[in-house]
Amino acid sequence: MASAVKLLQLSPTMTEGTVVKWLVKEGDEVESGTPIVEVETDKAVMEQESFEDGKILKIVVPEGEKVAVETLLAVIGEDGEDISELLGGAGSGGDSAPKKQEKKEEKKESPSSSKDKEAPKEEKSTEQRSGERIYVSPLAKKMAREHDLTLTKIKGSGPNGRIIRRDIESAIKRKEAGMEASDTKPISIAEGSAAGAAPAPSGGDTIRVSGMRATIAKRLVESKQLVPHFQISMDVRGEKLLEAVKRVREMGTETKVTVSHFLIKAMGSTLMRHKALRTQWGGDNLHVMEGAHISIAIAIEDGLLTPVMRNVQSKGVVQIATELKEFAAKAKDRKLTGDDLTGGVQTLSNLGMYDVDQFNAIINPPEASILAVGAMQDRPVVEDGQVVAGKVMTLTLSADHRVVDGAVAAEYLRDLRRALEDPMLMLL
Amino acid sequence: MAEITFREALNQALFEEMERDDQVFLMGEEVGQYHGAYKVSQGLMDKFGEKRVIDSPITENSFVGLGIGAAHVGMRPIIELMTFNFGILALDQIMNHAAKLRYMSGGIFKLPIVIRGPNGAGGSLAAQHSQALEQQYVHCPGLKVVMPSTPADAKGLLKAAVRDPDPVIFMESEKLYNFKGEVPDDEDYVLPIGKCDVKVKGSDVTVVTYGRMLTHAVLPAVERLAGEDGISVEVVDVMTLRPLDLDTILESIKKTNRMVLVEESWPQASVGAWICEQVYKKGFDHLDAPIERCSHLDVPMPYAKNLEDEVIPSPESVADAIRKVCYAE
Amino acid sequence: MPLTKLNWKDAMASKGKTSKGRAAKSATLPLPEDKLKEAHQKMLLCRRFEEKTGQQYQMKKFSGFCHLYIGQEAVAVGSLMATEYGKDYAITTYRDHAHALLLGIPPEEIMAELFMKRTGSSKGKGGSMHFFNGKTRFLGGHGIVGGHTPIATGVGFASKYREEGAVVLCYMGDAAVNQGTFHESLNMAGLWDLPVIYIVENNLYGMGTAVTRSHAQPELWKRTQDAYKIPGVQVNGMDFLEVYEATKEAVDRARNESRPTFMEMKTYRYRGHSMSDPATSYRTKDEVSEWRTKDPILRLEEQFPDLFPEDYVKDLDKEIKQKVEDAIKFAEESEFPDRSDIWTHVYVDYPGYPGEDENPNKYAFPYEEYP
Repeated sequence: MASAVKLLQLSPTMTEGTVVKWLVKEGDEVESGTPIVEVETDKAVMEQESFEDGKILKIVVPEGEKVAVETLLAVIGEDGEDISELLGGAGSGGDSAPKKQEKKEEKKESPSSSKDKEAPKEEKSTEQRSGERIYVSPLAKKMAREHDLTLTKIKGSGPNGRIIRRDIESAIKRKEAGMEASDTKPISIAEGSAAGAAPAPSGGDTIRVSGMRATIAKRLVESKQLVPHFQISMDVRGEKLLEAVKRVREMGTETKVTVSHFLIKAMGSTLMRHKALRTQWGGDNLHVMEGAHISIAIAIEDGLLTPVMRNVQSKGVVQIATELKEFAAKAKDRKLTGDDLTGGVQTLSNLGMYDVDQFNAIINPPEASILAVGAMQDRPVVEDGQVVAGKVMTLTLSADHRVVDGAVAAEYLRDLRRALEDPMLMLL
Repeated sequence: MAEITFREALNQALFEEMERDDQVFLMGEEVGQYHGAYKVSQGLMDKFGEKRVIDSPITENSFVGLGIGAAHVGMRPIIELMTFNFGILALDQIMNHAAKLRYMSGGIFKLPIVIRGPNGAGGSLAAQHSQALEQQYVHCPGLKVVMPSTPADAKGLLKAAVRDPDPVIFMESEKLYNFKGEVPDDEDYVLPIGKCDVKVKGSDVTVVTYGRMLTHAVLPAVERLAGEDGISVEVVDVMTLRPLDLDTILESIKKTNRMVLVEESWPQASVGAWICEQVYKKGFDHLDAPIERCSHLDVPMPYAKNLEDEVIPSPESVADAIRKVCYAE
Repeated sequence: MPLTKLNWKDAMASKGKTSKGRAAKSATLPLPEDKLKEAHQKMLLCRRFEEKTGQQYQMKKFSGFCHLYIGQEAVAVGSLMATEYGKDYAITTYRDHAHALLLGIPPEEIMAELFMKRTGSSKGKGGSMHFFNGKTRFLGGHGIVGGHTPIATGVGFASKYREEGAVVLCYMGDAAVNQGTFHESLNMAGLWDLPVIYIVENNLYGMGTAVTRSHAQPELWKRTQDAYKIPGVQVNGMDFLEVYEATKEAVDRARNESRPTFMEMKTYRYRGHSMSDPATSYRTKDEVSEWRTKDPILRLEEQFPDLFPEDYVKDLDKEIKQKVEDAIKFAEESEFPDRSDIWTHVYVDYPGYPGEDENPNKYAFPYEEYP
C-alpha cells in the first residue's frame, strides 16, 4: 500500500522547512532509513530519511519550496498503485502548504474578534458597580453576613476606618436591643447596656418576635431611655373604699363593680384638678389635655394593651365598669382600634389581683405619668398612737420629670389618696 | 527527664539511632576526630569507629551526593553540613537528585537521608555565614524540612527524621546549641514529623514561628505583653516546615482572629510568606486584622553587633507587631 | 547519514577497510560463542531501537529531550557484559536508552515511557532521560552533567560498607570530567578505596564543543592517576572485545581489591547531541563517514565472520525489528497517565500525597535485604 512521506519535525522547534534538494527521483527504490530529501530547518540543512521500503511514485513538493511540517512531500509505494487519494487529500500538489497556513491565520483571528464583541459587555458591568468602598476585616464581614447587618450603617473603628470585630459586636448588641442599626453613630457602652440587650442565649427555644411585642419593646426602651422617670409612693387606707364597693354591689348593678373601677373614677376626678398631670412633653411645647383620658393596662396572651377611657371625670363607676368590660373583650379579640389606644393622659396599671405589694411602672409615652397599684392588704397601721389592723394598698406614681415635678406629683397623689380614703370626695 | 542542652539532645538522638540501626552512618566535615565543628557528634567516632563516623573532605556537593547514593540503595545516611550556608554548594544534589529520584523513577526508589546542620545567624559572622535558608528546601516538593526550637523537640524530631522514608532537611541553630531544656530519656521518644506544637496558649493573637526565633524573640515578647499590655498571645511552633500542619495554625487563628509571623529569614519568597498566603486563603473569614510579619531585614547580614541586632527579629520588634495586629498601638 | 540497510550493505562491501581489529577463527575464540552472539544481538537491538526511536520522535509521537546512542553501542554492551547482572550497579547519564535495554527494562516499557504512557517503566514521569530498574540495580537515568557521579560514589560506599562485593559502573560523557563533582567524587573514591568504575564515553563532543576545545588535557585517561591515585585507561570504545576485556580487569580490581578505575572509552555518536542538533556546525560529514567505518556491530561481524553469516544477521535483524515494532505498538496502544498520578511518588509518607505505590514489586528495589 502506498504511503505518504510528510515533512518531519526535524528539530523540536521546527514548524516549517524548505526542500533544498531531493536525493532521490521518481522511480527510485528506497528502504527504511534511506535519506531521501535535504530540508532546511530553522537550525540547519538536515536529511530526512524514508521510513518505508518501496519506490518513489511521486514527488509533490519541488526543490526550493517552503512548506509546513507534516505537508505531503512525496508518495512511496509499489508500481501501478492508485495514489490519487493520497494526493487528493493533500490538495492539488504543492498548493497544500500555503492553504494550510491561511487556515491557521483564520483560526487565529476568530478568537480575538469574538473577544472584541465581548469586551463592551464587561465594561457595562463595571459601570454598574458603584458606591463608596467600605473597609472591613474579613472576620467582621463574615459576622455581619451572619447577623444580617448592613455594613454601610456601621462605622469602623480600626485603622483607615476599617470595620473590625468590635464594631460588629456593638452593632449586634444594638440590633438585639431593637434599635436596628438605624443611627450611624457608634453606640456607647453605657447606652448599649441601658438598652437592655443581653448576649444571645445558648440553648432553649428561639421564638420569633411578634409585631405587638416588637412595639412594646420599642416603646418601652424609648421610654426608659428618653423619659426621665421618677417615682413616688403612698399607702392608702381602704376600709371606706371597700365599704363603698360593697354597697354598690349590693345595689345589684349589671356589671360587677371592683376597687379598680373606683380607682379609675378617683383618678378621673383628681386629674381634672391637676392640670400638670394632664400635660405632655412636646419638645419645644407642652401639650395640655382637656379631659381625664385614662389608659388602662389590660394583660392579654403574649402582651398587654392600654385602651383609653375618655373623659372619665364625667362617668360613674358603673359606666366605667361596663366600658372596661367591653375594652377587655375587645382586647382579647384584638379588636381595639388605633383610636381606642391613643390619646391618654395617664395609665393605670393594677397588679393588685396578683398580690403585688408595690411596683414601679414604665411610663407609656407620650403620657407623662403612670399609676402602679398594689394589692389591698391587711397591714398594721398606727391609729391615734395605737397599732391596729387596717386595709392598705400602695400607689406608686411614675412621672416624666420634664413635665411633672416632685411636689406636683405628690400633691396629685395626696389628692388621689384623699378621694380613695373618702369616696364621697369623688363627687367633687 | 533530664535537663540537657540542645546540643546534647541531638547527640543523644544520633547515638541512639546509630546504635539501633547499623545502616545509619554519619558523614560530614569534622564530625569524627574533631567531634564536630559544634560538638554535636561528640564521642560518636569513639563509640562507632571510623567506618560509621566519617570525616569527609570539604566537598559539600559530593559528600551530600554520596549520602544520596547510599540512601538510593537503602542505607540511612545522616549528612552533617557544617552550616547550611555551605548547603548552597550541595543544592544540585539535594534539589536535582534527592528530591526527584523517587518521582522521576515512577516510585521505584525511596531516599531515606537526613541532611542536618545549623541554619541562620551565629553572631557577628557576617554575610556569608549568617543566612537562614530554609526556604530553599521548603520550596522543593520531594523534601521534608524540620526546624526544632527546644532540646526535647530536637531529639524527638531528629530520631523521627532518621527513621523517615523520605529525604529530611533538619535545621538546627548555632545559638540554640547551648539552650537547655527537659528531654525525655526514652529511646523511643520520637515526635511526629508534620505537626505544629502550641507552645503557649492565649486568646488575643496567634504568633506563628519556628526555630530559635521562638526562644530568642517570641517568648520574651509574649511575657512582656502579658504584663504591660494585658495581651494574651498564643504561640504556635511550626516545627516541621514541610509538610506544613496548617490545621493547627488555622485552629488558633479561628480563636484569636489575628496573626503575627516571626521568622529569621529574609522576607521575600520565604516560608512565612507561604504560611501567610495559606492563612489568608483558608482563614480569610477569620481574620480581623492584616497579618504582621517579623523577618530578617531585606539586606545581607552586617558584621557589627549593633547592626546585627537591628536586622534580626527581636523581642521588641515582635511585641510591636503584636500590638499592631491587636489595634493596640 | 544514519546507518541504514542501504549503508549497511555499503559498509559490508567495504569490509576490508574496517578490519583493523582481530580476525579470529572459531577455534580460538576469546569468548564463548554464545557470549559473542549475545553481544552482537544486544548491540543490534540497541541500534534498531534507537533508529526507530528517532523516527518516532520526528513523527511527533513524543517530544522533549531525546539523546540517541547510535554508534556507541560497544561501550554499554561490552562493559555491562563484564559485570554480574543483578548484583553489580550501573548508573548513567541522560543518554540512557541502551543501558535501559541492556539492564532488563522490556523494550515496550521503554518505548511506552518515551511515548509518555502509564505503562512506561517510570510510569510516564521520567521520559527519555530517566530510566531505572531496581531489580537489576540500574540506578538511572540522570539529567545533570556530572550530577550522578557523587551518587555512584555513594553506592560504592554502601557496597563496601555492607561488604556486598558489588561493583558500580558509573557512565558519563566527556564533558562531565570538567565538572567539580567528578573531581570531588574521584577524590573520595580514591581516598576511601571505593569499588566504583568511572567510565567516560568520550564521543569527542560535549554537545557541540569538541573535547580539544574544552579540556586542557584532552587525554582524559591521564587526569586521575596522579590527582586521585585512580588508574586511568584508554579503550577503543568501538570495539566490543576491547571494552569487555578492559572493563573485566577494572571489575576484578574493584571486586577483589575495592579499588576504583577510570576508563576513557573513545567512541562516536553518529547522530547529533539530541534530536534538535543537526550536528552540522561543529563537525564534518567526512568525519562522521570515517567513524561509521569503525562501526562496532560491523566490526564484530568482521572479526568473527563464521559466527555472523549474512543470513543469520538478516534473520536476526528482522526479528529485532519486529520486537521494536511490537514495542511501538504497545506504546501507542497504552494509556496516558491518569490525572491522579500527578501526586504519586513524591513522598513515601506525606499527608495529602498518596503513599507507597500499589504495584511496587515489578521494579521494586530490594530494600528487604537491607533492614
